[in-house]
Amino acid sequence: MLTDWLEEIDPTQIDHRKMIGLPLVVITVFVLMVGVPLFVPDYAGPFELQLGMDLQGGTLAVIAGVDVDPSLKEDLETHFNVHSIEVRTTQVGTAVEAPAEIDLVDLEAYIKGIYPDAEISTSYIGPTMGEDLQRQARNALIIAFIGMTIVVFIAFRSPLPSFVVILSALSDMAMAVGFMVIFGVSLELGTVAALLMVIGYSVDSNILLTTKLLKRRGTLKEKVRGAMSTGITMTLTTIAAIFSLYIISTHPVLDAIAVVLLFALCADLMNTWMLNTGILMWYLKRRGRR
Amino acid sequence: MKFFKDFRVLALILAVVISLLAIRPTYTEGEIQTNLKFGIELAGGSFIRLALEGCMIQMEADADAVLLQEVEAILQRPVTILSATEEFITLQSTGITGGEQESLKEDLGLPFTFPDENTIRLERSEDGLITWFLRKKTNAEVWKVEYQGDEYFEIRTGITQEEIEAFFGENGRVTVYLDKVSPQTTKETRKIIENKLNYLGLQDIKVRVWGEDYIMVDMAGKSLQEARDIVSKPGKFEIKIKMGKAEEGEEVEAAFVVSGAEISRVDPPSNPPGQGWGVPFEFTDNGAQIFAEKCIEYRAADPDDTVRESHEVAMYLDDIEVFSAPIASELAANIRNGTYRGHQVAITGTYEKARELEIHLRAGALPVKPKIVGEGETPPELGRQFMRQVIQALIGAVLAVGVIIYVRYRYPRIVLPLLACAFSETVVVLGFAALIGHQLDLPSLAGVIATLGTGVDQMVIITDEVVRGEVRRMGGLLQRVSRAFSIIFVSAATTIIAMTPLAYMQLGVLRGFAIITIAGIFIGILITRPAYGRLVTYVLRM
Repeated sequence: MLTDWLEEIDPTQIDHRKMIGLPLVVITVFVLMVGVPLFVPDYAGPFELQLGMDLQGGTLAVIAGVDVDPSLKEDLETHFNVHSIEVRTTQVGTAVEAPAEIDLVDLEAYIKGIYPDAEISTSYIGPTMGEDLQRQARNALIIAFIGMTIVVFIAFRSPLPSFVVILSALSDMAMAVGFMVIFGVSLELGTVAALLMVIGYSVDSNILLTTKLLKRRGTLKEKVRGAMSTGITMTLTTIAAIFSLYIISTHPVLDAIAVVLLFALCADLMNTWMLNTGILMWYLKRRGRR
Repeated sequence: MKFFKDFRVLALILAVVISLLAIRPTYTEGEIQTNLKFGIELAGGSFIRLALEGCMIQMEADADAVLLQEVEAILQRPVTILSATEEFITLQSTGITGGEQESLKEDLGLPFTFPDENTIRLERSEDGLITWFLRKKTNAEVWKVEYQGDEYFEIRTGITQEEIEAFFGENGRVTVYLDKVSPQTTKETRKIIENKLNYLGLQDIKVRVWGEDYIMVDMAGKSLQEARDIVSKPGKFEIKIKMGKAEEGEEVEAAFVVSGAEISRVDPPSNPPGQGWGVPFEFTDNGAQIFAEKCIEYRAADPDDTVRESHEVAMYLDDIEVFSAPIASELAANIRNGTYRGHQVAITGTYEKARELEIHLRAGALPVKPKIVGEGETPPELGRQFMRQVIQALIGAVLAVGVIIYVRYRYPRIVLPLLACAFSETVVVLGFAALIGHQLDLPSLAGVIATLGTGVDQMVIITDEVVRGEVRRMGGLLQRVSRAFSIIFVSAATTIIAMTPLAYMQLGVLRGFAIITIAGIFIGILITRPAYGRLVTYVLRM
């Protein structure tokens, strides 16, 4: 099926300026969208990456197993004498977000008083620990990325192919973060793990592409088709696996991981098979001419 | 079935068998029980993260000027520094009376000597004086610690830089202020909490140092309220006097003397000549008085050795005996003639025993005040539900991959070995986790999924290399498998290198993720992939 489709459209015949240009435009839009709020001080517009409770600090109670009346918000606010309680409905149950000064055991006891049959899970992260975790998560991403860069350079010993692999990992992550911003998926420890997985998957498909195009013999058309059919199969199997995780699990963290991976894998299809394939074909044609 | 004789395939089968033995799944009462350890968010229970109140500082201070000020404050008249050497300082004032000498020694707690009525002498070091002054002002334990190659004063109480500088006024300033206690203190506190839990019979509760600065306590199956009580309530420490020698396996009645609240200080184990290791500790004034009275009343300080030895002084932590010995004869004499001041050494013999007793003595109070910086609870039912979903999701993922592979290759004989290998790989990764006793938290499960994903990716690479073209000779096929491996090795190396720093990172939040991913990749390239390479070539020639 995939091979038939690849037979019909010959990637080598597509103008590589289009293959490179289109993804570049998309990536630029995403980078601007994610980057502007990060670097403009006091940014207050839309498209801001939300931090999850575990990175920001706060109190959270998730009520499962019962239908929660929306009046709970007012009840809680009067009982604890605060104004900033948020009550949202999620896949697992009703999430109550409260300021850090409310005691977790009191909060649980009060909700249990109204809904005796509820299964309540609670968590509290202090603001300083949240900051600490944020710093750790940022370091984790940076270190993983630098490590990946070094190995790629050693493996290819040539600037352009290495650059291509790294570019794609970077744009996959940027686009995944962009989708998180658009769809309001917050950055928490789980999604940081997901972004790390993105590095791994992105490198997998790009190393395949680069190796097949640069180190194998054969016509360019054959090589591109071979790489594409293998690579797209790889990404599709991963998408299928992650999608089943997304459908079956109701755990908020696992769901968030699944969503971020799905975003990133779709972005990877574009970045690897349009942008990077375009760049490498252009590179090979120029090298061939010389 | 020739491929069952291939050592690569045999290695995979062996790995799966070992893993299953390590995981040891059993089915009882409708629930699958395994050897795997799961995090609180999956097993149900409570977690508490503690940070310890205290700080480490470096400072520049004129210690002698600080001392001078304190001495002047007591004498209420001018004092001047007569001379100051490395070891000694001599102060001069006028007509210091015997009473003033006493109050200088008592109130300042320093070993002054008075060569004549106008001179005060003190053997001191600058750091010693700063430590003494900080201790006096903060009323907390202060000592010198080494941290990352530098020396710091550690103050074991929550205090800000401004507050410290206010003590010194013009005579000193804080040059470095770290808002955390030293790793040694964190470790010590962890040990004490763990000991307390052990004595409460809660051995399976994990108390770990998290990063350098946090202590994490995970309590499976306990509510948050219970967890808080266990962690924050100090242990019940009591000193009693036994009424008679205990016969083999018998309990003797013991009379309550004082509680741990009457212990004012515990020092690290020391080794007084001729006595063996022991833990020096001190009662409060009130405690010392009660102790002396009760010892006389219950004949634990009797002049007759046999009487005294049958009335041992025993210590209990949460009703469990941790120490028992008769009072030494000199101490007994002191108690009888009223010169006992509350200082005492509990002789244990070996250093290890002394260290253990020190921890017990301290269990009444942790060396630093912990403050809860994170906590949470997952009801067991919710945890079980998540766990079921994770298992279902894994099975679902494997099946979904199978469907895609079938649609792609239209060749059922490829689907089976690929799925078998993907599934075995997951089993072996879990078996590895069970073997090293790794606690599977959520990031670890994300790692299991990541492993499954990369594993399938790599098997697709192998399959595509092998399937293409019409070569059916074994040698040609194997050559293709090895070509596929050249790609796989590079991508495996990349992921491993990218993950290794995470596995070593201080605050290990994503450590589980890194460890599982790295293990998964190694298991993949060493065991599963070679076996799959063989299986797929055999299958294609069938």
